[in-house]
Amino acid sequence: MTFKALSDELANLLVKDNKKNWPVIVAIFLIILFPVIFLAALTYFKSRQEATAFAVSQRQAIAYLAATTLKEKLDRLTDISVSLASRVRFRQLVSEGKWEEAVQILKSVPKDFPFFDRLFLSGPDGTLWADTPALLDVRGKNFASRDWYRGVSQNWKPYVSEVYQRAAQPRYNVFAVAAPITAEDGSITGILVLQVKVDFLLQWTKNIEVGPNGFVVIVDRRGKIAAHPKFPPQGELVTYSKIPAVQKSPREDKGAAHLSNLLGREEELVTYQSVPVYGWRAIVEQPVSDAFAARDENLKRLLTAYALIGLISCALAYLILRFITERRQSENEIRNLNKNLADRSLEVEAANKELEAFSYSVSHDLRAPLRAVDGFSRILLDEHASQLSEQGQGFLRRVRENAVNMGQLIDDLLTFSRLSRQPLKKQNVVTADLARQVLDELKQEQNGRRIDASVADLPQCEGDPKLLKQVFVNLLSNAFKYTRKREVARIEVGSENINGETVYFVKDNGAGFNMKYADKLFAVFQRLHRSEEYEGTGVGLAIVQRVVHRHGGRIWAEAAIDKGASFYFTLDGVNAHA
Amino acid sequence: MPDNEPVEILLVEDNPNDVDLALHALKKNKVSNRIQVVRDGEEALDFIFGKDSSSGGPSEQRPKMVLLDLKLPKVDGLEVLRRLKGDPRTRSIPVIMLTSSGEESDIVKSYDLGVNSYIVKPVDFQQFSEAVRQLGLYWMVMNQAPIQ
Repeated sequence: MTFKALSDELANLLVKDNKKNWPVIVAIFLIILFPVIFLAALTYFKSRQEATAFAVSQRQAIAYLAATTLKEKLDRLTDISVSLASRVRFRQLVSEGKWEEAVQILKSVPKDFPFFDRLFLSGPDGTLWADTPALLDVRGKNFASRDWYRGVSQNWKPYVSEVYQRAAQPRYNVFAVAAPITAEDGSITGILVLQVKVDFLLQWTKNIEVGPNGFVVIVDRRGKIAAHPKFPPQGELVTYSKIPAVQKSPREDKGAAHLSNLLGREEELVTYQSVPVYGWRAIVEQPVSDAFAARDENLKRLLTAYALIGLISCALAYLILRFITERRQSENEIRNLNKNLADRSLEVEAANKELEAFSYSVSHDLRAPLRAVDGFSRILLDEHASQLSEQGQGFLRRVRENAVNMGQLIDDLLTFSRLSRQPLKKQNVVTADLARQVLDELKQEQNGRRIDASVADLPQCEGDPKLLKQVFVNLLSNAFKYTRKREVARIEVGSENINGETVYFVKDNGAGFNMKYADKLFAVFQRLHRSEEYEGTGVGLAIVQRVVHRHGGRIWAEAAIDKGASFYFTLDGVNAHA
Repeated sequence: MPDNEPVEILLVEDNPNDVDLALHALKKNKVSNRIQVVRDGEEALDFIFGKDSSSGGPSEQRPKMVLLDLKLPKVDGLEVLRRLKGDPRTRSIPVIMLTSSGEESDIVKSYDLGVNSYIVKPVDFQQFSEAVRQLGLYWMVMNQAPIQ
């Protein structure tokens, strides 16, 4: 289907009874908008999903990294404790019960490793026997209830304890790495406990870049906070139950969740990764608004772009619909106008036909009585003159003359009306030849007169040759008629170019007329001379004017009494190059 | 005009003035004998083809020339001309159109239908008389031709 056909089909839908069909227009708008909205929604949700997944996986990676780093640290602590506990001399001293000497060997360890708070030795039953740096009030106390003791004594394997507040002042948070000390026969002789300052060990978690308002939390296997930027390790030990991120993240897994803070502040994105073997967990927390800020920003841009696309397609649809409907409406208007015009021209045609019939019967019937008047007068004059007086014969002659005059009037009137009705048959006319031909014909009728007539090289023109000939016949006849009393009649046909327009003229040196009456010159039956002086019916110039007007031209005259007359006329469509 | 002599000129004219003027002019130009005048187109057709114009019965007459006015009651001059020139029996009869107008369309139609000559009836009787005089000459030439 071509575009034209398509647009016509659309126009048929859109315009009904020359009025906009609103339901269809609205439906088309919806049809155009629907794909845009659909695509926008699809892209929006897809993009949102992807951006969300990306943000979550980024934070999961951070949690994973934190968990891996933590595992390495804990592994290293365990290795250190095992290697310290397996020193031969140390083991020997412990098995001999020389706690003080044994601890002296390890005295330099807290200095070499600043994250070690202190280190102590206990018996297999959990009683503390020696420590460095030394705290006198704890020696001899039994710590069998401590997690580190229960952990290490379960299988006599190295054990990383949960976080606790150290017994001595100042009471900051620590955890212990306990390693069994064995004798040569493999029996357990004591326990080496390394007490680790959590803030020292987990300093690095503060430096992990999570994004605005985001942070890393480390919890031990029971969910107690090991590192949390908001809870300093010196303060009261915060139990996990208060922190939803801790509470709600499963212990031995990784994952992500949206969690609402208990304090009812904003929603948070939480990702977590458990540390294998130790059961500790790394948790990444960030308010949802910050975590997804980049995503939301991009989505906003996307929505703006789609809103723009929607707007543009609406505008485009509007313009197209408007173009189509308005074109259809104007087409309909033109069709109506054309129909009216066709009706009008039918009327005009009918009127013309009537007029033609009228003038046809006028030309036949009006002349018949005149013929009778003239004919019988003539017979009277020819055959019965002897019975009439001289005066009677004169009257009869007057009767005949008048009959002939009236016949001429009828003829002129018919010519005039015929010229008005005949269609113009325009063609190229060699104006000069036409004028010369008319001049020659008329000259032959002027017996014995001295005539000085000339026709210049006139530009050719576009016109109806028959009608134009009538123009020259009438103008030149007038020129001959009104120069009758001149000894030498001078008649000139020429042309001038006035402002790019060709103006033809016919000039004579005849009787002329008073310019005061120039406006009556071209009206039907208007004469400026008495008929005794110059015969005529007053139709000739009216015919000339009608022909000139029908060619789209103008006609005017300049004259003075006894100084001759000049008639000027223009014709539309004059070929200036010819 | 004796009934038993064949009609030589058929004048078809509805206007009595024109009939009288034409007859007068013809008489003055010595072509007055055996002229039949009919007053409309129907009469003209009846005269030439007989009452039952299709059969061509015994009443039909063949004039040697027809002077035919263009504008006639009942059947107009152009129709009469068409019938005369359309029938092989009458096609050779010379027809001269008489009309009061110089309407070009009339002249063109008449020549299309095969008219032999055309005279515009002028208001000036002298011109008409001259036309009839020339018609008389024409007639005499025609009369000498072996038509029958």
